[in-house]
Amino acid sequence: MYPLDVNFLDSLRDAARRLTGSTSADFLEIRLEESKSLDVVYKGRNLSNNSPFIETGGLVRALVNGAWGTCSFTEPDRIVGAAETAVRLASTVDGPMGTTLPSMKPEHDLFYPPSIEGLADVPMREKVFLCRRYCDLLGASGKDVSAMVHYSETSRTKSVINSIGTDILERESLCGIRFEAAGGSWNIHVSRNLAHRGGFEFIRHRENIIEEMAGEIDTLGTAETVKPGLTPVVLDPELAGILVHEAFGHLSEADFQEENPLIKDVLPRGKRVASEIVTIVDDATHYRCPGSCAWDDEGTRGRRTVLVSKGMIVARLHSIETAGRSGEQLTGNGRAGGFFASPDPRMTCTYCEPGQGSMDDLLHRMGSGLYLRGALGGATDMDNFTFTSGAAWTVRDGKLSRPLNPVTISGKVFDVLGSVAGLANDLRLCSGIGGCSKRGHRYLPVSYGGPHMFLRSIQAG
Amino acid sequence: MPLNLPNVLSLTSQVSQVCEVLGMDGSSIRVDITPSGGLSFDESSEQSCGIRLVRNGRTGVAGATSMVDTALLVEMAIASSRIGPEENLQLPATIETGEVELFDSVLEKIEVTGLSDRLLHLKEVLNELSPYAMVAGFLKLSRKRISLINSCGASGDYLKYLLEWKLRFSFPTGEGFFITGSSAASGRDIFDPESLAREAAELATWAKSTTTPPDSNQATVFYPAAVSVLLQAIRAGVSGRSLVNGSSPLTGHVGSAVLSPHVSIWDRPTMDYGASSAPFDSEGVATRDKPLFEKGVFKGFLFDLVTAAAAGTSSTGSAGRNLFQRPEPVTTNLAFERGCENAAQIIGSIRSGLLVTDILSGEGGNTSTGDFVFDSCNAFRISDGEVSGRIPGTLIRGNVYDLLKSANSISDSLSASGTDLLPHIRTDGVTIG
Repeated sequence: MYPLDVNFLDSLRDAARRLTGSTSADFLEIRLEESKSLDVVYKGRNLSNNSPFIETGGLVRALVNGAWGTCSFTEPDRIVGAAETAVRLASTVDGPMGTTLPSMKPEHDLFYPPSIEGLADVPMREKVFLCRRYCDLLGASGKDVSAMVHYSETSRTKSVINSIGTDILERESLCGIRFEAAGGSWNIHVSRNLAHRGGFEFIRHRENIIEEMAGEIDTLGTAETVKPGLTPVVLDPELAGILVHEAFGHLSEADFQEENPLIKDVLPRGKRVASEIVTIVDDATHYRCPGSCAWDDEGTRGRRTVLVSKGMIVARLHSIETAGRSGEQLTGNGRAGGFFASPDPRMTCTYCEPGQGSMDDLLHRMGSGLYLRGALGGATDMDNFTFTSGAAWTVRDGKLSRPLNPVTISGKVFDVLGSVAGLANDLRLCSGIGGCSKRGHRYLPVSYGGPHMFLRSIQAG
Repeated sequence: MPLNLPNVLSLTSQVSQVCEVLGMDGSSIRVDITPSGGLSFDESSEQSCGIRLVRNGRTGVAGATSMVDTALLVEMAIASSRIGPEENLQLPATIETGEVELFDSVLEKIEVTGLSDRLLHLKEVLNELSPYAMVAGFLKLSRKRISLINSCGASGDYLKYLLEWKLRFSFPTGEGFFITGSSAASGRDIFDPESLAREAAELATWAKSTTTPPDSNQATVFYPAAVSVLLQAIRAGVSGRSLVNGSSPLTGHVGSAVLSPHVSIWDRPTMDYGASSAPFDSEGVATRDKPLFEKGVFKGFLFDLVTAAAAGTSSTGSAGRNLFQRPEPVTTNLAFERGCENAAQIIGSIRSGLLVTDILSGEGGNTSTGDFVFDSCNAFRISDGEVSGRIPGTLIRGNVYDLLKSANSISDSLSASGTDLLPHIRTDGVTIG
């Protein structure tokens, strides 16, 4: 869309190096970001939004005697004042607050991943026209279908420089598209949401998805509503990924455990939290997944962390702050929801590793129950979780039977992973526009996934 | 280089038929508290600007923070207009403002240590009530100057201070832990540590035992925080954008009784010290308080300039805007009219029913129809007028419009929840399970 002005960041990075190299604080970090975003929304024939936005800013974090002070800014001439303010605020806190630094080594990198079709190389007009075309096709896919297409892209450059000596610059391009169709009286709702880290080529040639959605709208015209109750289910990879993300992923973020010491007490290393066929990882090295990153927002290298191995807890996800407090190693999960936000431990690309056999094998083993596909979203309060499938079918004698309206499933976080009775061999990683929000900060891109998953029993309604 | 709004307007005017520039210059101080009582302090400053222009009959928008070159920002807006919608946009030539007290001057004197003292006092009071309880979250004071100028000659600005918090309380119980929260914002200092701690501790006392849900379709009382989540559908339904797009369930119902006669809801952008209060909206139209529902009768939609023109009516001064998006009609501070009974009396009147204090806001709400399916994260059983235990993992489903149509009691006191003033509501329109 508009080329990133790396020269602009270069001048600020020079200032950041000088400030971090001469600080009186125990630790000083300066993160600078420039991002350019575009959102296009078509509802029927109406272009309801096409808004480009450029955001530049920085955050200074200072650690003094175990306490943090932070200061964010948007004006470039504020960087020196921001560094002084952050140190002053950290010094204002009375007495040691207990934060110590983990073992850290300086890192240096310039990471500019290539794209086949750079976002800046495709005119806005072309993106908008493609969205309109998709929306027209979706709207024509059935009788009385209302269609919505939402395209979103962000090109971001982030720089992290700290007093340990880390100096990294990473550029990323994210784009995605969400299709939504509602049929007749709006009781039928079908959606698809996909995103990737890369260029505009990902958005082209998605007519097959619209065709798939049209078929689903036809099917759901005869859908029934599920009778609430406990039932065995087979989840598709997307919904299995949402389950892992919501039911366990947030619990593995070290700050959640610190905020709820009882969670920490029930999730010590070595504790069994899932059936023995379950292994869950957070892996930032799937670079085409939006949740992934070469470097987190604290300048720690993104990596693969095994959270649960054969049902037993192995590790947690950390930022600098939580790793230091706990005495554990960094995991490269310090991510910030905006240039003005401090990094927190956040997931990247979290999924359950595959097992053996196929989806049909799982349906056959289940015999009778439900098959749930896709997700309209989910949430958890650390004790309970809830989410709603995009599509659902009853299963009889191991085969898909009658279509159902979207099914909401819920349960206790600590129970559901223990009821995993089978995993297929078909791992699929999923991402969409939007993401995951925490502490009221902006949505962070995340990725999730798994294979088809058979649960012995879950509350559906 | 910081953005200079008159310069931005001057450049934009040269390439457009009409245009407006909205600017925000703000700063904030914030204190975060961790469960162990640790504090961290933050200060921030931000300047940002949004353009809307009409060029060749089409509307374009663009936004940026202050470091962006003005010419680049205008170029983005022009590119947006090339494929933007054709809209009938008549900007005001003057900005006439409504009368509103935006903030209490006491807020200007609060410093970061003042915020930290309040949070530490909250923790102290909480632990007097419940020694092992924890609190985490933040308390923030922000200052914003909003400025608006347009090519028709209108110009205006106002200053706001806002005190806001978002807190999470955790209490150990015999079976694990109980979590509840509090969030609100105001132009005056309404942060009351004793009251917040007391309310959270009362819920924790009720949560010490668990029980089973009552039979379906029983009387249900919703706390203000839960009402706030339910109102998402109402906020979307009363928008003129929904009317124009054909997606509002209130279409064709102006003047009709769609809710219970006990329910009267106002949109109050001129509420003194209201978190969303403003003397004019984001297009420069004067704001005014409006009844949305009066004794259950739907009084009308909220409009900005474009949706008003499309609907053949006038703007209601309800334009809200993120700087990087086009304006659209939004609610500001929603306020119910008070009822006749206090919350204790309402609960006491129920022989068998449900009390919902917090709603887990997943994707179970359809703002176009009002249908919802929520896992009520904090729900309690009411038996013979008393709260008799927490119900873990209960799903509630229903339709917000049906629910408010069957509302039969509104509390006589209102609580700040988010930007709204909301009551306790008793209703019969909820299915459990």
